Amino acid sequence: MKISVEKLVANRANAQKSYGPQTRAGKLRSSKNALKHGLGARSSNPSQNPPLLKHFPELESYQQELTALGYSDAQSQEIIEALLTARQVAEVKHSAYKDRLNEDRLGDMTPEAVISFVREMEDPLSTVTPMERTKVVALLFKQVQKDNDLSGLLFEKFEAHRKLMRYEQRAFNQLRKRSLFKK
Amino acid sequence: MADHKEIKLPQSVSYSNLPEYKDHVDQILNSYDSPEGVLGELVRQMADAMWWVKTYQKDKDHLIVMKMAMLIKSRSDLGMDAEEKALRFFDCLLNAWSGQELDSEDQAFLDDAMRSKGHNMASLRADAVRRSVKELEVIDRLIERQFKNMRLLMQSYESVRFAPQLLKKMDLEIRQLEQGIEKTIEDQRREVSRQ
Repeated sequence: MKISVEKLVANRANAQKSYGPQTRAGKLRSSKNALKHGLGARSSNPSQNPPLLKHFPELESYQQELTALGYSDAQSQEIIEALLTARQVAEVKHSAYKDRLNEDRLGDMTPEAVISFVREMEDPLSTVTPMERTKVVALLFKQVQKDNDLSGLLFEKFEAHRKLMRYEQRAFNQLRKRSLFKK
Repeated sequence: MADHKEIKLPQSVSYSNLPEYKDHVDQILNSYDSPEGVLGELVRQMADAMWWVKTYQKDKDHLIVMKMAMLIKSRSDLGMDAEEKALRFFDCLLNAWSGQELDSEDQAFLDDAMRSKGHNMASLRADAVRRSVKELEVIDRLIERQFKNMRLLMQSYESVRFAPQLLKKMDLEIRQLEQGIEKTIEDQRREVSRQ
């Protein structure tokens, strides 16, 4: 079920009353709120990132294989890092290619309906100016249109992949460069 | 607000867990004689890029058909009915465009809607494509990126595959160089002893 305008506005209003995280653990958690996929930030060096090795255990044996093929230890390590980054990109791509859930969409309605909902929610003592109200209505209606354009919704997942393109490009270029046999 | 509809867009399932994805990867691995280790990993990544090309192409078509559906959906329709109608148009248009025969009820439903907007199938599709140019450009760039990825992976595959031969060749070159230098040193020694 999609979210109603009232709920959306109430959620946002309540969020404004928050003092933010208070505990150390909460602050640590919220410090990662802006992290989307970590492809641009995290080092993919397995030795620097042991959980990744846990996630991709076979990569350790790849290094031995590459050394046996004649690659130097340093180059094998570099290739492994590049392979790991390429695989991370692939995983992020798979998890990003999703349709938006109905819960995250506003219902379809006319601009007049949006105006009447905003009016209904208004406090009689509110100091909101007509100009401000118009802006809120315009924003909400824009969102309503966006959430009810089914072809636009289908395009959202392509858009998610478009944002990942530069990481793909970097990862596969690096992999090719690093796997060239060096004299 | 009275809105309790559930639309039936494709489900949010990670593709890598889909059986058809696994079959696709296995099929590509088999065509490369099922390599293991690093080569296997590279082939799996190539298969992944191929998967995305197929997925993008299929979804690109869905996007155009959905745009067509949105174009014939009446603007006055709102709420649950409108979305259900649009999804029914989508199904009908997708089937019609892929050459499947529609039952008479669906055909009449589609024909009425197209007629009311002054369209036939070809003009509707042309209009939908014209209105989605920007989106289609992005999708085409994504497809192109996958082909580039495949080429880069292929080059990596070749490098790793031929590394032992290159190593042997380099070993041979080094040995030849060493022999050449040894011969020069020997010649110098002989020269000195002759003098």
